[in-house]
Parts: sequence; C-alpha cells; structure tokens
Amino acid sequence: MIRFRILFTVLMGVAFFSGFTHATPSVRSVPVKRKILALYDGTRFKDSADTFIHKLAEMPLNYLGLDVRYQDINKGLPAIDDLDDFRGVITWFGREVKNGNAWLHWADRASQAGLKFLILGDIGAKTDDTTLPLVNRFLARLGIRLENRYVSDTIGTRIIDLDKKIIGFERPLPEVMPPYTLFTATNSQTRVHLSVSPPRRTALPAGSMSFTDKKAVLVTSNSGGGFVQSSYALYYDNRLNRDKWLVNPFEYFKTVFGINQFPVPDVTTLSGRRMYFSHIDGDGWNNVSFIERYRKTLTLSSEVMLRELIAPYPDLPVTVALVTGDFDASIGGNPDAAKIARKIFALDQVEVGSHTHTHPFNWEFYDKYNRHLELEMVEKQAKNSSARGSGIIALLQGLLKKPTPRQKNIKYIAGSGDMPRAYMKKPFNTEQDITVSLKLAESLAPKGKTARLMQWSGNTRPFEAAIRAARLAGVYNMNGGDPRFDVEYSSIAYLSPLSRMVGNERQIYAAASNENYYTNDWTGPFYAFSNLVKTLENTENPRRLKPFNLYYHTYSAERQASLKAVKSHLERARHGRYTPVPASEYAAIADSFFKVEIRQINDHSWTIHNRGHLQTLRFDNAVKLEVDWRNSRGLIGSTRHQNALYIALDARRKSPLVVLKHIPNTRRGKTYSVEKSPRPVLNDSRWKIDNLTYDQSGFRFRAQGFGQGDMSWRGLKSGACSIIVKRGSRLLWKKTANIPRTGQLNFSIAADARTAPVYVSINYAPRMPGIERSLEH
Amino acid sequence: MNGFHARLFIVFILVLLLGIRLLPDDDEHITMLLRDKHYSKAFRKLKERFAAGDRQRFTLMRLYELHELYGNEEEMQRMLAIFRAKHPDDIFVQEKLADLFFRTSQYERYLNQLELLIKKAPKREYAEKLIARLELNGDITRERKLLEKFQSLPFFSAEHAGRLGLIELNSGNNRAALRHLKRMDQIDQNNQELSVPRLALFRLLLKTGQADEAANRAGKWIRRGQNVQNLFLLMTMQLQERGRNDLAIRLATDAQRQNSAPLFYLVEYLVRRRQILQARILLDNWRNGTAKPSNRERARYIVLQLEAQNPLAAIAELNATGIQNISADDLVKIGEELALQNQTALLRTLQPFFHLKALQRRPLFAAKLFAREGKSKLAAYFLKKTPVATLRPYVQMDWVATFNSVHGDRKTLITLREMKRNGKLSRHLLKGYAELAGKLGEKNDYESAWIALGGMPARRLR
Repeated sequence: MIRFRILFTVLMGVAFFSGFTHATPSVRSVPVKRKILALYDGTRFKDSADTFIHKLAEMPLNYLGLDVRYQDINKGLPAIDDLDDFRGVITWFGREVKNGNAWLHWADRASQAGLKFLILGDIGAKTDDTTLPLVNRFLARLGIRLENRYVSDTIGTRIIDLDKKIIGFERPLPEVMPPYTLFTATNSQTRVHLSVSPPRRTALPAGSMSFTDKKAVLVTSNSGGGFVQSSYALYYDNRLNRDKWLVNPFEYFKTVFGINQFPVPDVTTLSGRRMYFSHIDGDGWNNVSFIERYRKTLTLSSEVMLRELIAPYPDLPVTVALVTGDFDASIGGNPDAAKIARKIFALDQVEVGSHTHTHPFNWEFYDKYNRHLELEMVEKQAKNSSARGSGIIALLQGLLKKPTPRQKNIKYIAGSGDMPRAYMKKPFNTEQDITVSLKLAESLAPKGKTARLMQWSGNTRPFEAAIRAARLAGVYNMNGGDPRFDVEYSSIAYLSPLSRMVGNERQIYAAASNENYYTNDWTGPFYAFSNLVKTLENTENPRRLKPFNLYYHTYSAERQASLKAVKSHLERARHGRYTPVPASEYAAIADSFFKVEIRQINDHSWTIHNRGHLQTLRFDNAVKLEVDWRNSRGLIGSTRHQNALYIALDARRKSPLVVLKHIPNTRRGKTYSVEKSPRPVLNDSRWKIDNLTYDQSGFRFRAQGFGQGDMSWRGLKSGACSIIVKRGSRLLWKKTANIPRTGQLNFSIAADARTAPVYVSINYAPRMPGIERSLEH
Repeated sequence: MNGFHARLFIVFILVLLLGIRLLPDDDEHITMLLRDKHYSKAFRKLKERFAAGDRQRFTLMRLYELHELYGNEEEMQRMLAIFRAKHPDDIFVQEKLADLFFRTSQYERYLNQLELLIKKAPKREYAEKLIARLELNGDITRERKLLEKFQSLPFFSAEHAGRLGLIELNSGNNRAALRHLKRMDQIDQNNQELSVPRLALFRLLLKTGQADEAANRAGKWIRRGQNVQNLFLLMTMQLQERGRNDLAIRLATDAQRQNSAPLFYLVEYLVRRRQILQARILLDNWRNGTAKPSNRERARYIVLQLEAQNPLAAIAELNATGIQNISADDLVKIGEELALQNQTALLRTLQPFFHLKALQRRPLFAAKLFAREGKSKLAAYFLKKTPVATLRPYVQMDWVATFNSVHGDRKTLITLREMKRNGKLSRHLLKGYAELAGKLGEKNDYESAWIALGGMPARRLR
C-alpha cells in the first residue's frame, strides 16, 4: 500500500511538473508560419544571391522573423500541397518570365489555397489583350485589376492616397513620378497605400471609360497579399548608383504577409545586450608591417596584430582564421610564421578558424574546376610579371642566398585578385582547402582547442560542396554580405540578410563590412575603417538590425592609421554595453534562426521549439506589453530597446513558454528601465546567462563570458545579499551588496569566465521573523 | 701667412660657406625624413614648428599627411581647416576636406564643403556630386536653391535647367518652370532627344496657349527620338484636346516616318471620337507613304480600316497581303472587326483559317461566331472559357446576350443568380438580371436584383 502511495505521488508529481515545461497537452497550439517562397528567374539571375529579393527584401523579411526560401521558376513550381508551412510568396522578376501563363495559373491556385502573394514590380507574365483575363483573374486575389495602359508621361499626375506609414520611408516620392501602368482597386477591401490620378490625356483603350476619374493604384495590400509597381519600391539614382527605399519594407511586408504579434527570433541581442563579436581573416599574415616602430625590426603584421589588437584585449573574444597555405612551404608559405599563430591561439580569448588553405578569390572558378585553365593563367601571369623577382635579379639573389619558399614558388602565387586563388602550385582540392585547413589551423592551437569557424575568402561565394565540407567538419561558416549603412551607403538597402542558401547548404553572412570596403580595396585612405561606427549607429537605432561585428584582416596591422581604427572599435566594444561572444557563436545563432519553430497558443502565448543556439526573442511595437512572469516558463529576463521588447531565454530549458500581458493603464507612460517582476529577472548582462533557478533564499545561475561580468537584475528582495561565484567547489569571487527597495541590483563579477562557465549564487541575507518584505506587485 | 696660405684659407672659407649653403634647410630636412620614412622624427619637428606659430603651407600639409598616416582624423580635419582659413583659394585642400567629411560620414559638413568648393572652383564634377546627393536624399529645397545659384556658372547644363524646371513645376510655379525648361531646350539644342523635361515643356506651352510653339518643338524632337512612340501619341492627343487637329495630324504624320505605332494609336482615338474622315485620311497617308510595311502593320491597318468603316480598303489590303502572311491572332482580330461591322460574307471567307488556339484567346468572339451558326455545343464551350468577371461592363452584357441565345432564358437566369451569389455579378448586369427575372416571373430574383440596385422595382411581381 505504501509503495502504491509512493508510486502514485511520484506519478502525480511528474504529471504536475511536466506542466511547467510544456504547454498543457490538451491546449491546441498552431505553428506560426515563418517561411516565404521567393520565386526568381534563373535565366536573369544565375544565383539567387543576385536577385533583388535577396539583396533588398530579404533583410527586412529576416528582421520580421521570416525565412526566405528561393526557387528558380524555370526549374518548375512547387506542388501547392508542399507549401503548408509557407506564409506567402514574393516575386521581384523585373521582366516577363518564360512560362508566364503557367506561373499565373499556379499563383492563382496557390492564392486560392491561402498563400499570400507580394508582387514587386513586373507581374512576370505577358500582359496583352489575350493574356489579360488570366492576369486579372490572379490579380483579383490581390484586390487589383490591370487596365493595361501605360502612363509614360506622368507630369500632371496627382497623388490621391498616400499612407505615410508605408510611403516615403527613406526618401519622399520623386518630384516627377516614374512611369506607371494603370492598375485599379477592385473593391473596398483593397488597402491603397499610394494612388494617383493619371494626367487627363492618358491613352484610352477602345470603348473604355475615361480614367481621369479613376484612381490608379501604385502600392496596395489586402488579405491576399500586396502589390508595388515598378519604380515605386525604391528610388534609384543612376549617377551615384544608389538606392533608397520609398516603401517602408518593415511595415509593408508585415501588412502584406499578415504578421500579427509573434516572438521574433532575434540574432542581434544576447542576455539583453547587443552582441559583439570579432573575426579576422588571415590575409597579410606574412607581410612586414609599415608601422615605423615595427618596420625597423621587420616585424610581421601578424605579430603586430597580436601585440596591438589581440593580447591587450583579453576581455574581447576574437576568431582568427588562418590562410594555412601561408605556413605551407611546399606552395610558397612561410613556416616560421606559424610561431605567431601558436602564440595567438594560446590566448584564451582567441577562437581558432580557417580562411582556407590556398585562398580562392573566385569560388565559381573552383565549382567547375579546370586545372589546365588555371595553369594557363599562371603562365600568363608569369609572362606579364616583370617586377616579381624574375630574370637577372632573381638569379643574383639565388646565388647570394638560399631562396625562400615564396621565391621558389613565386610563379604560382597570385600577384593580384585577378587570379582565381592565391596559391596555385597544387591542384585545387575542396578537402584540402576546407577540412585539412581546419585541422592545420587546429594543430597550431593548444591541445583541446578545436577549430570552430570557416571564414570564406575572396568573393565569398563558396559552392555547395565547400559549405558542406565545413559543416561535415563540425564547424560553422561565415563571410560575405558586407553590409554598410553610412553616408556613402545611406539606406538599409545595403544591409545584407542573414545568410545565403547554396543548394541545401547555408552560408552565414558577416554582420559588417571589413576594412577593405572602406579603404578602396586597401589602397587608401587607411583611416577610413573608423567609419564603421556610422553603420553601428544606424543599425542600432531606430531598430537594432545587426549585432556589433568587428571584421578585419591581418593586414590592418600593416598601417598605423588602420591599426588605430581597429583599436577605436575595440575600445568601443570594451567600454560599451555589449555581450561579447566568439564569432562561431554568432554563426550558430544565425543558423538557428532558420530552425526555430514557434507555436501559438493564443493571442499572447507561444511555445518555442528547436531553437538551437538562439536565446533571444523580440516583440516589436511592444510599448504596451510586458512579460507575464508568473505564467511564462524558461525565460531569464527582458529588456527594452526603442519600442521593442527583448526576451532572454534560458539555454537549459528546451521549450520555453512565453506569455505576455498588457501593461495596465496606470503604469503606461512611465519609464520601463526598472520593470517590476515577481521573481528575479535579468535586465542585461555582459555575460551569457543560463540555468536560472530561484527560491525564497535567492537565485542561482550559470554564466560565461568575456571581461568583467557586468549584470543588472530586478525583481529581487530588498536587503543585504551575498554574491558568490564558483567554479566547481573553487570560490572565484565573492561580494556582499545591498538590494534597494526597487529590487534592482547591478554588480560586476571580477572573475575569468572566458573558457569555462562559472556558477553564481545570490543569497538573500536571512531576515528577522515578521520583517519579510516582498517586492511583488 | 704667405700668399699661398692666404689663398688656401680663402678657398677653405668659400668651400665652408658653400657647404653651409648646401645644407638642407628645415623644410628639406623634414622632406628627407619623410622620404626615408622617419615619420616620428618628422612629426616631432613639425609639431614644434606648429606650436611655435608656423602656419606655412608646407607645415600644415605635412602635418595633415602625417596625421592621416597615423589615423588622427580630428587633427587631419583641424589641419585642413586651418589651411583653408589661411589659404582659402587652395582647391586641393578644399577637396581633401570634402573627402574627409565624406569618409567619416559627416554629411552636413560634406555638403557645405562641396558648396564652398564650387564657389572657389565652379567645376561640374563638384556640382554633380552635390546635386546627386541632395536628389538622392530628396532634399528638394536645398537642391532648388543651389540650382538657382548655379544658373550663372559655366557648368550649368541642360540637365540642371531641366531639373530646376521640373522642381518649379512640381511646386506649381509654372512661369518659372517654363523659363527654365525653355532654357533647357535651348542649351540642349544639338541633342534633340525627347526627355521628361521636354514633355513638361510641351505640356506647359499648351497650357499657356502656345500650341504652335509646342508642336514646332515637338516636331524637332520627333525627328531624333527613339522608342518613344507612346509619348508622341500623347503629345498628339494633347494637341487634339486643345482643338488643334491640324497640328496633331502633322505631328502624327511626322512621327509615323519613324514608327507607325503613334499614328495607329491616333487613328484608334479618332475612330472612338467618331472622327472617321480624319482617321481615314491618316490611314491613307500612312499607306501611301510606307513602301514596305511589315505584316503586323498590315494587319493593324486592315483592322483600323474596318474600324474606320472602310471595308473596301481593308479587303484590298488583305488580298494584297495574303491570309497566309497574317498571324493567327491578327486574323481572328480581323474577323472580330468584320463581325462588328456586319461583314458576314467576308467573315465566312476568313473563318476556315481561324486557329483554335487563337480563338481560345478570344473566347467571346468565338462563342458568338458559333452561336450564329447554331453550333451550340461549341458556343457553350467558349462561353464557359470566357472570364466574365474580368470583362468590361458592355462586354459582359454581350456575353449574357450570347449566353441567352445559346442556353435560353431559364438557364441564363440560373447563371446570373449564381454569379450574384458569388459576388461576381456586376452592377451593369443587375438590371438585365432583374428584367429577365421579371420576364420569367421569378419574384425572389426580381426583388433581390432590385434591392442590390438600391432602388424600387419597376413593377411588383405577384
């Protein structure tokens, strides 16, 4: 009987506690659809990364939490049944596609099945009198109709509707409206964000009514999707070759794809702060620095980098990716330079990476590799080269002293980026350049320290097999994208999306441009990399669009000005409110973005699944919302930035439950820097926090990170407390503090948590009976 | 001292003085240091000179270069600013400062510096950089002010004048717009390409009652214009709208030498406005003036002649062209026009040559064709193929009439009822629906149609 009672109690306990980690099985939840199908014309854009959608639209779509999947329309359209987990379709063809009618028929059926369509610019099908009925049958689902007349002389066009929330985002409408085709709204359900009255003299089709009294719609949306006429999404200046968004893509895409509030997987923030990470490509490793104090001693740039940019910053993580061919004497590298790599990799803040073995510049060349052609290019280079040690000078040098590996192999070393790769002595081999290169880099690191990141070289367009090789080698990958947002590139149009799909493999883009793009391909001015700060500012406000990524090459240590620029960014990272992480961690988080599954329980609750390394969710326009801490599970903290609410998840909790509630009217309008909560909640921290537990005596968590462990908590009991930091049984740091009545505690842990986590306990001082105070509201 | 020693002594002194003369002065010394890459030494010397009040070009420039080498942006800016104040006419420094502002994202300073640069050295390249940035960012007020300032400068181009004209036009300042646009046309007289500012000029001239001038200018542009047939048509129509058919015809005739499309569009327009005679004249002129029209043009010409109620000319052209040279779609189009003109005999001649696919693209015409011949199954097939909801109202009525002729009243009523239920019955068909319901004594249909029309029934059904 007793055994039965014990068993019964245990079973009831399991059933009871399982409710805390999972949504009640009986509660129905619906998956939040996050996928968007991007159809493109492969005859126009060889690579999906070249499409307007990828270059311009995908970043705002990613920001809204959407995952864009590309399909070349010429390779067939997917079965509609296979698109159950897709929210919608986006097209930005730019011209007619080959089987325009087939596309329209498919679009009509897909729209009928519930997919939302966003048509940017050309519909993609012929629009003459014979195809017009089919075109209009599909367009009717978007609430518009093509009248098939083109207004090329737009002078005299009057604006009738202008939705300021959507139109005029980065620039007002052009003074002379671009030519447009006449579309009209078919019913009152069509939301017209921009419409005009055409000039009176518009050419009329036979027998039709005049268009002077009808609205020509240029930007619309309805329950079926949306439409933006060509030249009305972006403004393009052909003198400067620059774009600016006319349409607000964040608001518009949200409207078109019917995005209601759901927790957006966020890749910019961790533990409530903007993420910081840094990665270095090893180019220029063996170059002698021009900096005066180093030049005299012929110090290599890699050594200067170590001394000036890495060693003095043990509190900032950095991934150093070697071009392992730089140490391979058999192809022209300098084996001595490996010593510097060993010194660098021995540092705790340094993560090991590879920048390939032979540094391909042109990845497409190696996708369809032709060794014979490569050798021809080598011969041609050798013939054209006159100042590279050939001829009599080389002969004399060879007589005087033993040639270096570089000199011996100079013919096979690229003199410029016009060659397909840097080291061409041996035939290209994906295995060598990826897998073996990672191992070689790792071999220079202390035992136990493994390579974690593959950083793409050259044009950063690796082919599928290369990315796969990196994945199979157990590392993440990064580079490409090269976003900028400053005076020269004054639009979000120049911010890249999170990644690029290549077949079935995913390449993660860097979150910033490297110094090359600021210095005219490293020809000067060398101070210009300091301008990165403008991109950082513009991607932080009014929206946090990117983490802080400091990305540069070893050759930044060649010049005093570039060294100073990098240092200025390092100082910013050191003293700013960031959460520094290794670059591979960012890559892991970005990769996880695409795997996250969100299930909606009701208007204000969701469960999160399969999120991998991603630990932050974001709610936009959340001024009136806060976390319901009593009912949420698996959350560590929350913070606000502009109008967004950021929620930090506990990495140790598999499927958190996020529940929001409305802020009562009495509390609205007040500052939220110190939000109340009924239990310990993280505001923000420089370190990663997880495994949070709490009870009446205090709370505990695990933390890992770089630099001082600055952190801010709220929802604590006022009074004295002790903060104890341990690793295993070893005490690392201890402090007593006083928690004020606000319940907020800020402190900074002086312990090294870079390579292994620490365990932190905050214990409230025991109270006299009868003097208990609670901060619960 | 004897004479020899004295001469030796003098030579020694002279050589010594020469040697001293040949010693590098401070500037040369600094230059040598820089050449030999002893930057810190050179920097020290220059900073000392600067601290002592030296503001020579050499000192400031070398200091600037060293600050650039060291990446001291604020000091770079300071040196250039001092240099600019001391030597305001030095264009090189002004350019450097603009470049520095641009590279450090100091946008307003960059714009101001470019303005200053233009003041000092009115070159087109500076103006283009400035105007382009302002236009990219939509800063019209500033752009307009600058363009007005630039009017007297040598680099002021047709493009600038045109842009200023358009800005004024957009702001409603027509007089100023006209002035600038005329100037644009004048400056650009060797390049008579049709452009947006020229179109604006044309419109404004018409608006201000200067149609002759408008047509004269347009005539010049047409002779050089490429691929702008729709625009010429629009200009032609604008002349028409102002009652200047003479100028419109002249312009269209001029235009058709390049391309027939504007002229054909004009003919269509004239036919719609029931100006049949003028339409025919234009068509005849075109035919007489065109030695080798393409088959497409011939087909269009045939259709237009039919529209202009000139079947004889149409048939003559068709015979000359040969049916085999007319595309399947054009042939059906011709057939449709013949049907409209009640040219039944001719239609029957052509009918055997109609392709099924071409008919499928004009299903309503095909339905009417087969209905007329009593081939109800075929007619029904094509009626079903017709996307009724997308048809224009009067064409929808045509469809209903044809449907009725094939299926009869009862089935027509059922179909209209279904269309209404699905929200696909347009307002234009509601009255017909009501009337048919009334004819068949269907009270519910009758009343619901009238309710949808928003009015009282013409008569009550019992």
